[in-house]
Amino acid sequence: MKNQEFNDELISYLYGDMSAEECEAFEQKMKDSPELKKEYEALLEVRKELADLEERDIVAPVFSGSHEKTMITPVRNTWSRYIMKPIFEVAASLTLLLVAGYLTDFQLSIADGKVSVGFNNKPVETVQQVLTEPEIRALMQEEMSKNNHELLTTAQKNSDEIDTRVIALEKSVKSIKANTAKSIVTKEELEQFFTMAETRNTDAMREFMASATTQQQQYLKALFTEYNDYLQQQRQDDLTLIRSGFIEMKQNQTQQKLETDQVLASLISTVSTK
Amino acid sequence: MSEVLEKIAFMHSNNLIEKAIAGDQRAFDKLVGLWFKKIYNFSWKYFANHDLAMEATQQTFIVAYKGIRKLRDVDSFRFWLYKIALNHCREEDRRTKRRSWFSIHGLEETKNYSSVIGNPEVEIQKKEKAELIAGYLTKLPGEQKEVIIMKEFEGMKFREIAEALNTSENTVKSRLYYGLNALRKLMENSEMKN
Repeated sequence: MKNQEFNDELISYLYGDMSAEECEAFEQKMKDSPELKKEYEALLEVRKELADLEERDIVAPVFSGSHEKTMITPVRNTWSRYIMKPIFEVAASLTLLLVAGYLTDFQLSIADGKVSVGFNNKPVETVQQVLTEPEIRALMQEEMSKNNHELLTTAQKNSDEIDTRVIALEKSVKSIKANTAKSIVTKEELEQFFTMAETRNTDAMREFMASATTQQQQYLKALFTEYNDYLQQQRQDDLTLIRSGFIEMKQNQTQQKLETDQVLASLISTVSTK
Repeated sequence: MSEVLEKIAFMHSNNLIEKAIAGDQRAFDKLVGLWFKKIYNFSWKYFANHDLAMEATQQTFIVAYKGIRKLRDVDSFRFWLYKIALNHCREEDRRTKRRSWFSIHGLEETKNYSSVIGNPEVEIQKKEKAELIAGYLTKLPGEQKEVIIMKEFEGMKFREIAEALNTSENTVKSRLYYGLNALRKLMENSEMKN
């Protein structure tokens, strides 16, 4: 009977998913067929081997829904993700450029201090000189005088601004000096301040620890109380069950006694009549 | 003792789930603390790889955080969470297979987890055996692997697995049967080689 039905039954038996009668019937089937029993034992052996696969210990990371992305750490494929990907991206771009250059017959050369760029092997057209030397000189002169004027104006503005700032700075230095003279802090005052801060910090830490401990205690207490309630409830239910059993038993006994009395009375009356 | 406390905590997690559904951030944080190990172990058995398991676990909780308000039934939280984890494992598996030719290390385990406790030799042997078995699991077809993990390690009922996978109980049993047999063959082959 090596078929699908048997496979399902074997699995159900292997995992205890059968009623007592079904179990008996299946065990009988195995007795009749040693081959099936062998298969069952082999699968049982596999299950025992699987039991060696223990749970691994792992520490759960802190999860914050609002910062869910921080939980994801780049834990895998560092090679492909952070090294290979950029390399392939650059390589792909270069290949694209080379193909484009080849198709358009791109030319690039440096000669006589000139950089020439062109396509289809055509000579690069240069801009022809259309101005004479004196004209260029005049233009340069004009441009230089304009620049000089602008520079002078800017320098003058800057100088005025610096003067204003220097005056303001002097004023503020004077004011700081005056204030410093008023508020000199002594060493004792500093020490006192630090001692106070230290005491305050210690108190805060102590309060925090005390509060945390109390909270923990409360939580544990609540947990155990709940667990205790659960056990009590269970116990109460069990007791109720036992009590109702006893009452039922007692009722049965009374009933039986009555019946026995009735039978006895009937027997006695029968005998006395005869 | 810690296992007992963990069980008690799981017993009382319904309250936390209710609060998390109502939008309580701290309750959700506690749920993450409670379920992280379980979901990580589920994913680790799926991949036999710490990094992939961590990624799938983290993604599971991010999706759970976004969707928990839509959860109507507190009791279905467990299956709902496993279902999210399973979907992420499948997705991650597909992604990993697609780029496996591209990656140098592929599914290589990083081995940066739990420290060796007790007798180092015994612990190392146990760890190696666990890795070997997890390695066998990764060689199984996805649908068989999922069913084995859910039944064998998460202790889910056939009905629950069928519900989570949107299939029938008989199909679940059938996948489990073929999966266990495939594992047996893998183990036998490995023994023969050794």
